[in-house]
Amino acid sequence: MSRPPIPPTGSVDPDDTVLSAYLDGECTDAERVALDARLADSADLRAALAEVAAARDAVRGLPLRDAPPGFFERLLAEGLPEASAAVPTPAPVPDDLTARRARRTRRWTAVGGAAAAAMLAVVVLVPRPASVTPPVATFTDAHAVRSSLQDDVVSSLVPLGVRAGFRP
Amino acid sequence: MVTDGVPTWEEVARDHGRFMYSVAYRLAGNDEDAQDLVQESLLRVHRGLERYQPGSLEGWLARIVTNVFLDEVRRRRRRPADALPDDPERVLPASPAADEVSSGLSDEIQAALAALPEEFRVPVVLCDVADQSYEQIAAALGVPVGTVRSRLHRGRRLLRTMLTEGAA
Repeated sequence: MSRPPIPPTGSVDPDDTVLSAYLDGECTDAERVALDARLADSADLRAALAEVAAARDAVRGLPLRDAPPGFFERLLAEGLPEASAAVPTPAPVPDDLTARRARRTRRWTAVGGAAAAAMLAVVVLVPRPASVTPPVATFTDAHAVRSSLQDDVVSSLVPLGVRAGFRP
Repeated sequence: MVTDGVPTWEEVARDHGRFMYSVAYRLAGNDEDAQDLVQESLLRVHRGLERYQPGSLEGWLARIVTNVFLDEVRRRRRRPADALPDDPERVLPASPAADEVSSGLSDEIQAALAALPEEFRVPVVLCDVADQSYEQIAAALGVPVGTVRSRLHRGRRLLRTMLTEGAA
């Protein structure tokens, strides 16, 4: 979806993120002191801060939302249905991003290792087809014998085998 | 029953269900999706309780609801046939009973909130509805604190623009 444009606010940079951080108590001491000084000098900046504060207060002023009647009662009475998705629950304490990345790396390393091991097993353990040397001479002799017994005229024209009736 | 400070999922549903539902509703924008989000979140709570360490329970719950929401957004993006929660038409409350108890102003704010792109809506909801710190939001979303600060501020600016234009 397209995003609504953000109108300019006089000479103030409307995207100055320190305004929200200031309202939330999330900026550094140096930022706060500097912003206090700028606010004292600039009506535009005070107006910009007031606009952000209005949006913030609007959301903060929303009441807690009640679920439709009976929703939780039904869940508690019937219990939770079976898992619809086997998605891991996040760690209960604020997760360390590095630790999560390490876990992810370990997981992918394990998956990669398992795949490599499987391929190696296929290469090493699965017997390769033995080379085949067809016993051509035997087949030829058998064919010659069979054709001589059946009076196969065509085959008997090719004297590759010993005639069955031959006795040295 | 509480064991060593770790609540059961039933206690979480009873004591914090309203909080979870509010976060889910502000993220999803409608009761139907909010119920699904809360149910799936309680499943993850149930699975993750054994790893829960007593601390900021509501922070943990907000994070679970957010993860479930983001998983659902990704799933729906892969299946465009499903309605997206970003769709403003879908923002209208599904339940007439819920509609009746909501004030007109709350509906306007909720509609503007739901019309925010999800990358801005999530930090706004986590900060202004779930009362999470920038650091907690950053950990929940796996992004730097500076990104949270920027998205949150931009989200509030967009929200203010939409509310102002809506009122004009």
